[in-house]
Amino acid sequence: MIEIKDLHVSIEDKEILKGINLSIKPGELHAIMGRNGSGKSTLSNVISGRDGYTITKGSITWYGQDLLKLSPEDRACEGIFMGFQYPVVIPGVNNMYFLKAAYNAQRRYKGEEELDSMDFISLIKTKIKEVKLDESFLQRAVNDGFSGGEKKRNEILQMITLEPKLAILDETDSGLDIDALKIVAEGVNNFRNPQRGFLVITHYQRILNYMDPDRIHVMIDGKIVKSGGRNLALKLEQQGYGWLDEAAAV
Amino acid sequence: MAKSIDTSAITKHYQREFERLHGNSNGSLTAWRRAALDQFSASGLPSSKQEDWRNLNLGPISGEYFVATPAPELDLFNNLDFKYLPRTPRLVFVNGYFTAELSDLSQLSDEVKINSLTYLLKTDPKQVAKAVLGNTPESTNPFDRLNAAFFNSGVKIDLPARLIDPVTIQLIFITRPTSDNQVFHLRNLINIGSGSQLNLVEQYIGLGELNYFNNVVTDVVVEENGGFECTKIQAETPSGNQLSNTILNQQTDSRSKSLTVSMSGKLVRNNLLLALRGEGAHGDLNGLYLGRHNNVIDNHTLIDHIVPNCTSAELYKGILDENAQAIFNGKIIVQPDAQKTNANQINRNLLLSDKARVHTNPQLEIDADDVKCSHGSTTGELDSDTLFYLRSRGISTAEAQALMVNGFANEVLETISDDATRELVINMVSDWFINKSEIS
Repeated sequence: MIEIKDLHVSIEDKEILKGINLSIKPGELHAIMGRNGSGKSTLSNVISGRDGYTITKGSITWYGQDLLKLSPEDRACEGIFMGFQYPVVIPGVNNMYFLKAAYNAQRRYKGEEELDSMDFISLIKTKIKEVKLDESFLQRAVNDGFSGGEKKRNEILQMITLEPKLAILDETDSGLDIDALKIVAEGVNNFRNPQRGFLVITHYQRILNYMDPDRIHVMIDGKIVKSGGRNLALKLEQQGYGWLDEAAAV
Repeated sequence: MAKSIDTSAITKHYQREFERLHGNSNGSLTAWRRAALDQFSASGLPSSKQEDWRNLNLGPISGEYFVATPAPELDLFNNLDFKYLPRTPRLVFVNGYFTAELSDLSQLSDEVKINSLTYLLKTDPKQVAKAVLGNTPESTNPFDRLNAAFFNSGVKIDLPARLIDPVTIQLIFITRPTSDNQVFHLRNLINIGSGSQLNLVEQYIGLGELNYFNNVVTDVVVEENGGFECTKIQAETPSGNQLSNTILNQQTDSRSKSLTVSMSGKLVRNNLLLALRGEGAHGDLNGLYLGRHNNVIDNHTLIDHIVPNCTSAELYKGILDENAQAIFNGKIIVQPDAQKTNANQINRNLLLSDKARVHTNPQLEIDADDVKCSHGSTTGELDSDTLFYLRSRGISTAEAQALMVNGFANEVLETISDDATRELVINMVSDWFINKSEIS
């Protein structure tokens, strides 16, 4: 579904990504692990279309088309979702209203009929149960006064409501206690199907204990230096990133 | 440099007007009016060098000879657009004159005394004299003095003590001038008896394209344990001006909540004094100002903590687009006796264009030592992280911006207690956002 080839990205002339190659097929769950500052979040931001990055070389194609030409909203409507590491607080904007605006914007893009308020309410009420958030969160302003775990569960709620083809979870596990982590992982696991891809970006392998990744990539200094199966995560857990630094230096 | 104004010509003009309108009258009210006019003549119009009028160009209302108008012909309001006409008891004024045809007081309790000042000035000037002489403290504001000299309409509302049910009244002031440079001096005198509650919606609606000037003075007294909630909506035309002076006096254990929503207007200047005179009184002072084109909106608020154990909370927010300019000057005074005061003030501004400007100036004057006071002020553009967050969910840039701007305003609008009033104001504000490019 998504094909990243030799991607080089700079922020204000400083090169952050130095030739990333990554291909995700429907049904696969890929994990990218790496220390802070290795470029993991830059990769997810570039895929979802955030401003401020210069692509100096390489390409990202999405079902054969040039993804980099699309606006962030069109990428979302095409089926790419990013769960934010730091979800923003939007005072004064009702969470339900926001979810409905996003849901209907994507329906319009696809030429589908919008859901009216009644239908949307019944839809969202079934979805919110899956992330174990109280319905009262729908009537609050977006992420306003939410705890860290509640914000992340609200991200998962958006994911399962918008039903993307590719879900990128950017350090969704950071700052979560074990219970919240399980809820988030369960949300992802229930949401997996043969048509849907995942890219889970994380600092720690902890969340991967609750998921079943097909492929794990280690990113150091803007490059993927090692790819492998589940065992790679366990090795990182035991030995840290140090043994890979040499590979990165090449 | 602001253009210099020939003050003596202006004061002479208003003296001539006074002779035309009140030259043949006498009595205590006329004497009081004449004294106010003399004070106005002595001070002249304020200049932007004066502290209270800094940054404000008074050109729109000081460069013209504004003339008082006779009562309008009936056909003037036959074709008014009543998109926002509310349902509950209402008094409608057109060009300053009470119009019974558009008003509806059928659901109003008999216990509430309500009269147009035009009527009272004709039938019982002594009652008006008693009210203004007793209520109104010596004002140093030139426009307040001008209003004292000339006011010929407005409303007098008296709520008796201990009414069981809150009273809701809507005042609608429609301005549709019949020629350029008309001035309307309105005065509202409101007294809320002990333990009673008044919910007031005060709407100013400007129509047409002619230049005009509304000069409004509102005097409110909330007696012991009384309550007052006021939602004032100023929707003047791009060539309409409004200066308003509101004095809100609160006695022991009384509560007030006032919201001033200013949208449009060539020049809008609001002076609001909240005087906490009795212990245990609480006042909420909220405001939302929306400016575009060349609108100038100036809010000067003063919260005066006179006695101990009073609390006040102030939230003013502004959204400014195109060439609009706003001033927020929020002063809090805590007098030496006013121990255990709790006062906080917040002013937030959102600038939607490079040319929009805001001057914000919080002032705290604290002369007591056991108090809690805070203030904060921010001015910024739409947050780019929030915009990206919304877009990353599939929402277009335009829709995302509208969501954010509405969200910014909602924090203030959600303070309105009454559902119907809140809905009315939210609809008016939404329309203001949608009509972005309609009037220019």
